[in-house]
Formats: sequence, C-alpha cells, structure tokens
Amino acid sequence: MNHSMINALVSMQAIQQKLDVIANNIANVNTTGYKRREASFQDILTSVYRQPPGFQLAGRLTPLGLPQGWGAKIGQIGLSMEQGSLMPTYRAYDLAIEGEGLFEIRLDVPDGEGNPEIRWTRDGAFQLTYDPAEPGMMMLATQEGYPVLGTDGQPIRIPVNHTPRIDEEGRVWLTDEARPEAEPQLAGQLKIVRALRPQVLINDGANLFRLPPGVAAEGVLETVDMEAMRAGDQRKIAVRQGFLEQSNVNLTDELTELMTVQRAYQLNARAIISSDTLMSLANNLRA
Amino acid sequence: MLRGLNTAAAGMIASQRRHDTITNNIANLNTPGYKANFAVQRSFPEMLITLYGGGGGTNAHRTVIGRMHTGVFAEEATALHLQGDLVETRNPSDFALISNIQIPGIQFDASGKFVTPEGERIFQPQAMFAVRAPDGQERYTRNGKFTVDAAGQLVTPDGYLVLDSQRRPIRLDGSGTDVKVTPQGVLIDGFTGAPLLDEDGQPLAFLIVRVDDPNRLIREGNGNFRLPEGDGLPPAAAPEDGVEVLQGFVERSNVDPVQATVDLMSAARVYEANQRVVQFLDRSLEKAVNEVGRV
Repeated sequence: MNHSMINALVSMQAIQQKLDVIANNIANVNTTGYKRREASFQDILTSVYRQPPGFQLAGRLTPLGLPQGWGAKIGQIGLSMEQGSLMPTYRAYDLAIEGEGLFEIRLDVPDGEGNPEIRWTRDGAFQLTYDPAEPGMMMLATQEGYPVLGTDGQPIRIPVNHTPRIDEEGRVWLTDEARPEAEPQLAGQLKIVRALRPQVLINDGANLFRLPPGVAAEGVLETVDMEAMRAGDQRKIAVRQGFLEQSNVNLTDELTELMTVQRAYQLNARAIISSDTLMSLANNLRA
Repeated sequence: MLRGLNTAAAGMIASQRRHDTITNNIANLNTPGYKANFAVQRSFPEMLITLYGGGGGTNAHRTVIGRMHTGVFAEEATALHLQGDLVETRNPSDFALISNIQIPGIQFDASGKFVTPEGERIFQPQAMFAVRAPDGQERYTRNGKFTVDAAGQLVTPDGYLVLDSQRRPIRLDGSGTDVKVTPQGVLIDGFTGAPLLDEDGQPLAFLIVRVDDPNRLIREGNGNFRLPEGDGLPPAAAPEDGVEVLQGFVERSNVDPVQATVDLMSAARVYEANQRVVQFLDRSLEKAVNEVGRV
C-alpha cells in the first residue's frame, strides 16, 4: 500500500521538475538565443519479489519473479540546439548565427589556475565597451561586458568613430566615420565554433554554455573552418549582421506539454488518494 | 471460518499488488518507451473438501463436498508490449521504433495475441534497440532517447552503450550532430548522404533485435529489459519484418490513462470488498466467542 503511495509521490516530484523546466522555457520565450530544454522521464529500477520454482505453473507467461516498479524519475534534461528564427533589428552590433555555430567569449575573471574562462553563446546582442588594456579602443562585448573573441583568441577591437560591417564569415570590416569613402579595413574575424556534442555542454545561465569540469574542448567543440565551408565541404554556417536569433521555444508545444504533464500530476494525486483510502480501510479492519 | 479470514486477507494483499502495478503505470504515463504492466492473479491451489462421518463413529463414510480455493495471489506482471504513439521532438539523437512484425498465417488481435484452435497463445514478436550495460550484458529498450557523450559514443540516459549491427558500441566521430538515420537503421552523413562506416569499412547501423516472445523479457527499470539466462541472444530483425527507425521522434508510453483510472478504482473496491469480508467474519467470530453458549 505504501508502495503505491511512494510510487505516486516519487513521480509527482519528477513531474514537478518537468513543470519547472517547461516554466523556464516559457519564461524564456522572448530571450535572444535561448535554447529550449527538454526533460524526459525514466521508470525507476524495478524490484522483484522472488518466487520459488513452485510458482512456475501451467499457463504462466513470464519468467519467475513478480516485478514491481517504483515510479518515474527525470532521466535527462536535454538541450535542443534547433535554430531559432532570425529577427531583423538593423543594429550594427546585433549578430545572429545561421546554422550550428556558437560565439566564443571570455569572462573577465580567470579561473583558479589563471587560465581565461571561456564560454560560448548563441546570443549575439553585442555592444561596444571600453578596452581597459588599450585606451581609445573599443571591444565587441556581450550585454554583460564579456569580450567576444576572434579567430586569434583576442577580443575584436574597434577604434572609436569606426563603423563595423560584419560579413557572413564573421570578418569585421571597419569604416572610418571621418572618411566614409575609404576602403574598409579588416579588424579581425569572429571565432565561430560548432558544438559536435551539444548534450555535453552545460547551461551556465545568462545564455552562456560551458564545458563540464575536466572535459577538454576537443571532440566536443570544433572551430568552424570557413575555408572548407566556402569550398562546400561542410554544412553552411553564416553570421548575419543586424539580426537577432529568437528563442527556439515553441509556445504551442510547451503549453501542450504543460497540459499533459499537469494531467499526469493530477492522476498521480488521485493515485495517492486511492492508496490513502486503502490504508484507512486497513486501519479499520477491526471496526 | 478462520480459513475465510485468510482467504479475504489474501484477496486484500493481491488487490494491493494490483493497485501498486497500476500506480506504477500512472507514474510512467509520460515515460518514453514505457510498456504498461498488468498484475495477473491466480487462485490458490484447489483443495478437495470431504465430509467424514457416520458408520457408527468410525468415520467410514466419506462424502466428497467439492473443491475450494483458499485465496488468491498476484502471480506475475505481464507487460503489454504494443507500439506506443510517436511524438516528434525534432532532437537528432532521439529515435523511435515502429514495429508490427507479422507471422505468416497468424492474425494478431489488438493486444498482440493469437490463440490457436488448440488453445496455445502466440504473442507478437517485438523489435527493440540493443544496448550494453556496464556488466557487459545486453539489454533491450524501446526508449530511444539517446545522447552522444564526450567520447562520441551513442548512449542511453543511464550511460548504456547503444550497439551496432555487429554488437559493438556505436561511436560517432566528427560530425556528431549531423548524422541522419535511414528507416532501416543505417547511419548516414547528413551532409553528403554517404553511409557512415564502422571499423571494418561496413555501413554502420543500429542493432534492432527481434524478440520472438516478448513475455520472456524481464523488466529492469530505466526502460531496460533483459532476457533470462539461457535464452540466448535474440537475432537481428530481418528486412521483411518491416521494422522502421524514425529519427527526431520518441515512442510515448503505451499506458492508457482512462483504463488506468478505471483499473485503479476497481482494485481499490476489490480491496474494500475483501476488507468488508474480514469484518463480517470478525463479527461472526465475535458472536461465536462471546454469545454462543452464554448462559
């Protein structure tokens, strides 16, 4: 009897977690570059009531033993790297990636061993900040002020009074506002990496992804080879200036999921009530 | 009379087991690849009741009264191995199996069963993904929610290795997210369309096994099943079995919530009825003990 109750209780806790994931997705329906997360259930390890060979009677279908499950748990929370739709913003510092790419950025505080902390993001709502290292220079940075890295591993530096134009391959061309007729100058190329194993990446909040501790970037992330892509050997990844990638949350899907999960929660609550009734019946055996 | 008390108690325990099984089904309403479980009850072995008496106190006369059972027990929990609904997740590492394996000359009913005129029950064979557990043994699952781990291996949520047609773990090198799967389970490069090759240079494909009697499968939890020792490894499904793999889909649990609710109510009521019988018998005992023979 307690079995039924534990079963339903465990599952309600798991369903609650799933509701949290759905709520988080819905909350981020307008977050630039947000990637939907998806929780899936698994049934919990089955215990078996042992049965002696005498239980092998004629007409029995299954091998000996009476299996008993213990409800459901959240098996994994996966990340959906599906492309979000691109929305035009006409801002020069808004970038969106078309295809499976990520921008690489560097946190301003190094890790315990003094190495720079690298993060990856799909959120291309960038801005300019002052470069503390070089006065008079600006750097391309995220909303939080973390510099966006170029292929050389350094921030993309833009001198004041220059307008950037960023092409499909992530190259940054600068035009001096004082001399608009001059030939644009190449200031660097954005580093675009591709997630080979997106499920390994950890969502760090603030739209950033990081590697789990102890896992090397090799094999999980790969720098996109723009040359190979130009030659047509790889699936295309393009940087779009003046666009932002919308969240890939589909409200219809999430709400449908919400309803199914909520009903399952309800049904489990019913099961608890039912097992409570059984318990009270057992208590009242001797009325 | 005490015999009746035990019978009613056995009824309570058996319907409690049934209640537990149904609760577990309800708990796994949204578990991908879950197969509904049903507790099967069996009555206790029959006893022959005989009346001895007469013959001048010698008990020479024996009259057979009849047969009786003194209770019921939950004998086994059979799983309904039918196809669950498919739901699209658009996740490239989610896979679902569609299987409707037919045996020539046999028409399976809606529960995947066929009864021959001789009364023999034949169950529909089922296709399953083969995975390898850390103990080195094979497990079988319908939950195709796989992921690619940091080492490039295709794994289940609990880290079991998904096996290829040569019963080796599937390892995806290079373009992990750009792998497509044909309905026959062959892995191809999503960009060039060329099949991925294993270490022998053969096309890499999922091992989809055909389990001829799905009732032999022992549930292990986490969506995994194993076959009892001595049953041997199940063969791979043949092309004529018509098993298909769908990428970006998962198979939903095949629990019917309406059926589960009704079963839950009925199990609870059977429990209640048995409880009432215990109370009746208790009252009769009370009479026998306290009132019969009172002077």
